[in-house]
Amino acid sequence: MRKSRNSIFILFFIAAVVIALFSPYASQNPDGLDWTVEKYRKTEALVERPPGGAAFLFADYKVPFIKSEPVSTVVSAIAGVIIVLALFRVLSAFISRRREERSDKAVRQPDNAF
Amino acid sequence: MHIPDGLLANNVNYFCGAVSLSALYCCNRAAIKEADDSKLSIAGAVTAFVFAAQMINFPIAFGASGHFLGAFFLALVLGPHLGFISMAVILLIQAIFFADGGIVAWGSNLFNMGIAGGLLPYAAFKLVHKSSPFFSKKRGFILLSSAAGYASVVAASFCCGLEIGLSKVAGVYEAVCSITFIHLVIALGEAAILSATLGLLSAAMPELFEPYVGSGADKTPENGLGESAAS
Repeated sequence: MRKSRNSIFILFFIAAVVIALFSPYASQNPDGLDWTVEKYRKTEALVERPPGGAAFLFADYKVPFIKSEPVSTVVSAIAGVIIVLALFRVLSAFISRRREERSDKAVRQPDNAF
Repeated sequence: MHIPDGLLANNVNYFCGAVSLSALYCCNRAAIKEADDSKLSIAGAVTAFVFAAQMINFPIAFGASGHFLGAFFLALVLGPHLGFISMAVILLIQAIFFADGGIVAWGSNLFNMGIAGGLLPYAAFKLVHKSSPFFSKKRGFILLSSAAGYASVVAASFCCGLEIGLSKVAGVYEAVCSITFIHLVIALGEAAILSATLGLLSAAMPELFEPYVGSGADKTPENGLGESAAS
């Protein structure tokens, strides 16, 4: 049976939230880039945040005011999912509006030809 | 593979930023031109899915870890243009809210993960996909996609190594060899996740891959969902 766009959207959203719930179990080992850079620079300067890093809302995937680390990670992950959805809502609206403007122009074009 | 601010030389960041912004402009124009609402309507959830998946680091050998890149997956499901925009959005949110990847280095990260890790492997995938009818079968499609996913991580890490080398953090040869070597292992995880995800999705939502699998493979390769899914 074919699924509608809405059900595909909901399935991906649920998958994103389920994955977010597992985020506290992510490995704490350095990722490929950090692993490489640590070999060449002995200081930690590279992996530290630049000045002003404290201003990041969910720095290191943690919510500053939540003490429990796993809960903090899950909440920040779900917040991230919501931010992505919200931003894409705006972006989709922008792209749709531009498309309508384009199609309107294309329709009007023959009248303006002469 | 998210490059923080302060690692790369400014010139490298500026160059990669200029290339990435140009690519983003072109992809935005192409996405507007494509006029495919079926992909646009699911793009937010698919992007959120990749964003969440990128948070899960899996341990690999040598005391390192890796995570799902997802750039090729986005190109496959949403089409290359919308997929690239999705990757740009993910990297922007990670940089602004989560301090994961630098804000100045956003262009370099987009260059590595969006262009080298998304657009290029997708172009290669399309070329190979056309070459044999085997790749239009479900098994062939998943095999080819996993290979492209593997290549996407290696290509992204190669560019990352090149940027580190050109920034004189290490020699170009050492940086490229070292980071590409570790990502040859990480890419196995990407290929495994990709094949499992595509196996599940192609069984549960075959309409997502209509342009690539089965009879639909010959019809509308640019349309990520096929016309039927829009109804």
